[in-house]
Amino acid sequence: MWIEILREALRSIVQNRLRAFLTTLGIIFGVMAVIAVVSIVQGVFFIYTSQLEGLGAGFLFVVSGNPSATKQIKTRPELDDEDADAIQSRVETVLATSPFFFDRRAVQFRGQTVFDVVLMPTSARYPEIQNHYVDQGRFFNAFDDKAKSRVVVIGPDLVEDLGLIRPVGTTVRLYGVPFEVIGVMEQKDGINAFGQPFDRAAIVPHQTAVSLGGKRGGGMLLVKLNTTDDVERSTEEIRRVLRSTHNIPPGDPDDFQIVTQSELLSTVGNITGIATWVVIAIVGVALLVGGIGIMNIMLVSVTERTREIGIRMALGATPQDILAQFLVEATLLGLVGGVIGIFVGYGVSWIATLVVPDFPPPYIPLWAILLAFVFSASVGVVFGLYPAARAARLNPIDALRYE
Amino acid sequence: MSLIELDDVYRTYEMGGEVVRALDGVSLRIEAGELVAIIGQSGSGKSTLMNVLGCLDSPTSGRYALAGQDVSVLDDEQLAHVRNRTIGFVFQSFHLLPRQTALENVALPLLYRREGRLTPKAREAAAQEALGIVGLADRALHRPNEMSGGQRQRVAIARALVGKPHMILADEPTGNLDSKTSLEILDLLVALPEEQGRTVIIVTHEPEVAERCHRTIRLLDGKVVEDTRDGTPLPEKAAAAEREARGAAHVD
Repeated sequence: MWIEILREALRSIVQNRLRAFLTTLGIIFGVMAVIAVVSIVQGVFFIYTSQLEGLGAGFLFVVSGNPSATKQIKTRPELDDEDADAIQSRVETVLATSPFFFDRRAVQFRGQTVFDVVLMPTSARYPEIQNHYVDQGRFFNAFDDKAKSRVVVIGPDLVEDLGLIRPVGTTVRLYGVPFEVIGVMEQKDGINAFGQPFDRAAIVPHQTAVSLGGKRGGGMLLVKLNTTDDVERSTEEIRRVLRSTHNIPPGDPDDFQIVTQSELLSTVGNITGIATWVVIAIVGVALLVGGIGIMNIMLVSVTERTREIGIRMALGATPQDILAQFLVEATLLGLVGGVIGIFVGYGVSWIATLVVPDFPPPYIPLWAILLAFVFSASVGVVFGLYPAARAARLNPIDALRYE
Repeated sequence: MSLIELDDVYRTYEMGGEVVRALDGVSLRIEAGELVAIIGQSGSGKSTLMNVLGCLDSPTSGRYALAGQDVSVLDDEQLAHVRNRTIGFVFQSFHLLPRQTALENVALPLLYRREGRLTPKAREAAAQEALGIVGLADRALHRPNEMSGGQRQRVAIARALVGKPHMILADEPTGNLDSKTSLEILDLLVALPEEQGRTVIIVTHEPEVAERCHRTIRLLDGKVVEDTRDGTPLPEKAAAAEREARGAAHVD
């Protein structure tokens, strides 16, 4: 029986192809949006987390200030070389610490100016902490930092932007004064934990930048642990050291925040999760509209086929048979829309892959496909129920007489 | 036990606040294998009688037993089963499903059969056989719009026969056909009691059609005003039963 009902529903849909297609557009767009957005959000999530994971579980950073206790902090919180040295020497599990901040400056080379270059003043320990090393020349050392040497290490993309042919040894202007390019960083696609692209940054010694007045705000510290076993305990020790160097009396809130990699990961997870749910809510509206479209067309279909319903009833179809027939047709309409939507959504995510560099190939989790299926089918069922019930309630005599 | 037993059946409608008695105390017995014409002018109640006999409509009061079963107490679903098992319909405007082939149209009643369901293959074979009976075995895969009116009505008759029902109810079966085709369809229908052992009831307003039937029941204003078999009134026994039923209704 179900096979015949299914065949009958298919026949009816195929016979009204255009109408069926237009009817299911709402569903198609809804499901397409789910699939495309889930896939894109997953892609972004993948890029970001893989980069964060590249930092290693032992990576953490300290930012000055504490948004949850701004009013209680009296002093201007500041994170500097002293703090970095204190952590380095007093916390055993710390491999390296480096003060860090970013700045945006113009970089000039001969007549050429590249505006808005991300400047990263930091210490000589930066390469080990970020897992990012020089490709040509050398990175600056602790002496360069102490001596406030005007040296800079630049990313490969910035080399290109400046039009440098043999970068190491050339002189560029930064903060209005000449700096010697002593190294070029290796290519490291993507962005760091703060969202800056690695390959377009210029790295200078921390104290040099401070002396030239580049530092605004409290700065931060990058920390690399030599063990990933007990990140929490290390975090607690770093906190104790910083409280003592900042002379924070017991009971007062921290004037800094320690952010670990796992916290970053969960933040990213939260953001993508929120994005996904927002999209699902929007899609819910699209599916509602799609469902109303299905209901509308099914009501038309029931009216058009009133006589057919009468004939079937006269031949022995029960109200349930008629109900099943129209319900299956509505469900099938929803499903067809869902399937088309899945394919179109997959196509859209492929376009994202082709257009955005470094974007992973579309990854559509099984749950998204199942969700799309279940949603489109249930939209069909829910919105097909009323028209189908109307068909089933028809009086055979009136239905047979219907012209 | 007769195939059809109607005892004092009323069917009333309300129309604009006025009660219309479409059937006004009808009592009837129709035996298995009879060939019956129900005649009357439009508004005489013959369509209502046909609907009641066909279990498409239920009497307002009175008893209707079909093949020994009181159908006036059944719900919509049970009535659908009774229609499917017991009755084959032939309509004036054929009422075939336009998108389906002749074979699929004929097989349709078997699709809705609950007890003793046939496999799709067996249904197709039965439909093909029924098409053979009406002489359309070679038109099985044609759709209604590829056939003449007479052929369509033959398909409809095959569809009425396929479920091997007790009776065929034909409502103005020749009303939409030319006279030559009408004769062919009528020949087919009147031969069914003898050849297929089915009771055939033809509702018509054409005297020529009624003449071909053995028994003629004439309705007027919802009442049976004439019931003759081959021109002679019904045997006394049946007539007495009818009077008795009518008398009982008058007591209250």
